[in-house]
Amino acid sequence: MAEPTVRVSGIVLSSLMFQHGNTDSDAEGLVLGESRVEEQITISDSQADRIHIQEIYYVQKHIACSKLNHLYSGAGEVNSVAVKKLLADNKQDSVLGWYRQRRNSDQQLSFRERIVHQSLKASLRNPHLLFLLLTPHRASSAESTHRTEYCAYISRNSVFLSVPLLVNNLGLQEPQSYWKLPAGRSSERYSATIRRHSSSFFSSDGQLRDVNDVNAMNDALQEELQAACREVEDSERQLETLQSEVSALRKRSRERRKMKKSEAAGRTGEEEEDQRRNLRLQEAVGALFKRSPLFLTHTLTLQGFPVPERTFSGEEEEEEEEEAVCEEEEEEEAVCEEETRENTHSRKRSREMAASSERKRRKSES
Amino acid sequence: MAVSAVHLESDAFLVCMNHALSTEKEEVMGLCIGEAEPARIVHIHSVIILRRSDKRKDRVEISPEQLSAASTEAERLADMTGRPMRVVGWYHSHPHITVWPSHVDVRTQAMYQMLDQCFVGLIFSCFIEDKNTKTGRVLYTCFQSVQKGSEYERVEIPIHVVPREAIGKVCLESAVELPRILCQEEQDTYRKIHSLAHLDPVTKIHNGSVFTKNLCSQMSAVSGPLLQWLEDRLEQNKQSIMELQLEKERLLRELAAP
Repeated sequence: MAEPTVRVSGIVLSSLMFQHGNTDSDAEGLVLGESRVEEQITISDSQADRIHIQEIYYVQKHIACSKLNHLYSGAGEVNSVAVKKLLADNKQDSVLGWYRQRRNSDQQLSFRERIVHQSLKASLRNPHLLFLLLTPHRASSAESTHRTEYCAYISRNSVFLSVPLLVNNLGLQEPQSYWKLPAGRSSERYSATIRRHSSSFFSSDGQLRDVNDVNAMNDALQEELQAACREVEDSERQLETLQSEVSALRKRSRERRKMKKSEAAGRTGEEEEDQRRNLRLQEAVGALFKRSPLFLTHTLTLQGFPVPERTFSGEEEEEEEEEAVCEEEEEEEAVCEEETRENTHSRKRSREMAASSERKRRKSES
Repeated sequence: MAVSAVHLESDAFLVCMNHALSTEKEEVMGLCIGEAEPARIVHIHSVIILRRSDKRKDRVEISPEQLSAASTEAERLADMTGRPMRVVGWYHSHPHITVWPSHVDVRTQAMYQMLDQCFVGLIFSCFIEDKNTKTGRVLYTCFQSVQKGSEYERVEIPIHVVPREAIGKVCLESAVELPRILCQEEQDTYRKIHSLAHLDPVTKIHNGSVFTKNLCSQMSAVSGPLLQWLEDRLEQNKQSIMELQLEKERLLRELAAP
């Protein structure tokens, strides 16, 4: 039976913890890399051939989701479009699995995680999909010690098996020591043979060619690291500046929207209040000055002068006057509303109306 | 107790953890650079990776020359950042063993505190595995020392990792310093051996292959993954920059509209 092992480099594991340290919520994303199957044949006295198959998954990078629960729905169904977008230029074949980091919780898959895992397996068509779970905790009440546990899981026949997550490091290989003492051979033919072939190993300055070559290769790698470091540093500063600019713009935009909203709410309120005040004023004025000539309507010429009254017989005049008074009473309300807006016209009108009323009064007396 | 808490910036944490996870065969160490605030809070902004001259187990000590070089580096950072930076602590790793400081660690810490009472010690315990559950574990702790009679005792200091999404220049430089230091250590060891006059060609060829093998391990386990990580980080940053540029333009248009 195949025994799976997951290997990750120190920088990738540290980077996962770094990412989680920068958020106050859970974190999740995809892990990418490559997998290999190795066969090991062992022969022992009891068994002729024992084939030992080892599956090794090398996690080489991780892609973080900017939003939680974005790759799947509430029911655990995978959002293929979101997965594709997250992968961007990375090939789907390179997806080894997904990961989740959650604080102060058990190193145990939740029901939802199981559903999502099966759903992702089907969506990515990867029967060997991994799930990496990292669970940081406060290990002491004084908050002086913190612990992060990590493990990988793989689903086999609907059962989740835990898979050791090993960190690749310099100590994995058995160290070979340098020899400090000479081999000590006295044979002439041995020494002559070694001397004859030594020149292909050593350069003219007595240094080993392989050592010179590997040093040159390593120096070139260090230069690449320095160059990549400078590029990343420039991008980090650019990102920092942009983030701070965008944060300031977002704040301004929020404040502007808030201000517009409160202005609109304020205007609506003022208009309603004005209307209510006008109605109350109208009622009060109507009650106090019902028959006042100041609130009577009058017909004006285009030049703004009142149209003179027509000469009728007494009864006709009285009827017309009564009709006019009724009309004027009905129009009082309309005049009140216009009064505040057309102060000059109303003052003019009131003088003219007073004159007209005086004329009517005299006529009625006569 | 002079220090009430330690705030470790997340990018400095990244460098420490990566350093601690670089080898399970020996303890690694470094120095913490930062500032101590009046509220007795020590703020760690970056770390300096150090070479270990004495690689015996549980003998993690910093030489006076290393402390002096670190102080010079701290002054350079102070000039760069305009903040009063200095060496505020040390860290080392405990591969396969408990996170608690040994009595040697506690005594070493006490010695540093005599020079600076705000000096703190961090320990990263890694490569711990529960064989039953196949769960791996890393722990980190912060401590100072206090004298109790003729002995010293550990004092727990609360430590918090402070979020910092963008990685600082100093931390990036420290991260890429690791493979350079590893290579230097190996080259120095090989040079000492190779300079022995009495070695025969076969022994020299063997030693050359040991050196080649060790350097290849470093390239494979440390330099290669670090370069890959830097490339991925650059790609991720470029993507984020593009998205933020678009959002900036949209917001500017929105604010310019009446």
